[in-house]
Amino acid sequence: MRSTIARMAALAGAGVLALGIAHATEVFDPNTRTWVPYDPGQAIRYYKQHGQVPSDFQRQVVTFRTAEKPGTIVIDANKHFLYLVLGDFKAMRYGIGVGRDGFGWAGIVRVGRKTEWPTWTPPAEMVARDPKAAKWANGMPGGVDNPLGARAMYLYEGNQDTIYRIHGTNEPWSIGLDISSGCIRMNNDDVIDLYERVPVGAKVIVLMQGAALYRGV
Amino acid sequence: MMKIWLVAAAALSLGACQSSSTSAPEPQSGAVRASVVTAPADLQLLCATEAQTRLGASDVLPVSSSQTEPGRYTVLLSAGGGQASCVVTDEGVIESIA
Repeated sequence: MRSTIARMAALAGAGVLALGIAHATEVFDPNTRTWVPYDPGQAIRYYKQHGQVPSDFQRQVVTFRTAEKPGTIVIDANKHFLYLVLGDFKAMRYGIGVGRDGFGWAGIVRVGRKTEWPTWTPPAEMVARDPKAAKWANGMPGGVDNPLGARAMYLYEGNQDTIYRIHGTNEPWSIGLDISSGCIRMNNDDVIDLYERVPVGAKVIVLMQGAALYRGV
Repeated sequence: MMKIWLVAAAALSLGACQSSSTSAPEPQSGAVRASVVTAPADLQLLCATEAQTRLGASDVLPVSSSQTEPGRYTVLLSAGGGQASCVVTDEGVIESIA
C-alpha cells in the first residue's frame, strides 16, 4: 500500500500528470441559466439562502458500476463526491470538501480507527501560520465548534497514520470546495451516517488529479 | 466475472439511452459540476480493475483522466511501478489498455 502513494508521487514528479489543472466547482443558476463559480463566497451565500448545500452535494443513492466490494469508500476529489459502495451497482454518494491547492493527495488507504466527537489538535505548521489554531495547540475538545465535527475516521496506510481523516465540520457551507488541509470533510449528518456504515479496516480509494501534492509522513 | 459485469453495465446504459431525448435537459437548480471534465470515478476504477487482470499488476490506481470525445475517456493508471493508459466509454466498455 505504502508504495502506491510513493509511486504516484514519482509519476507526477516525472511530469506524467496534468498538474495545475483547476477543478473548481460550478453551480447552475436557474435565474441566469448559466453555470457560475462555486467559490467560498458563493457557497456561503447559497447556504444562507437555501439552508443547505446544493442538491447534488446532498446524500443520495446513485448508480455506481464497480467491482469494488460493498463497504469500500471511493473519493472523487475533483468532483467533491465520496461514494460508499453498496453493491448491485449502487453507492451512497455524499458531498465533500477536499484539500485546497497544495494540499491534495491520492492513494489507497484504509480506515485505521474511528472516533466520535474527536479532539482536534492542529499540526505544528498550522499552529505556526494560524493564530486561531495556535490557541488549541494542546488540543480542542470535541463539540459543535470543533473543526472535526461529529465524527472522524482516521486514514492509515498499512499501520501508519497518514494524518488525513474523513471528518465532520463546523462549516457546513464548505462542502464542494477545495478548502481543507488535505482532510476529507463532510456535513455532520453525513459523516454520522457514513460512520455508522463503515467498519475499521474499510478500504478507501482517493482519486485526485495532481496527486503529486501528497505529502506523506 | 468482468464480462458479466460489462453486459449488465451495457444493459443499464441501453436502458438510459432509450429514455433520453436528443437534446440534453437543462440542469436542475442545485446541480453542480467540476470545471474540468474527468472520467466518472466508477469508470476510472473499472479501468484499474481490468488493468490488474490484464497486466497482472497490483495496487493499480487511476492518477489522471480526461474526456477525449463525448462519451469516451482516457484514464492514466499507476500500475505495478509503471504506468498504463486505458480508454473507456460511458457504457463501461473498455476499448483498450496499454
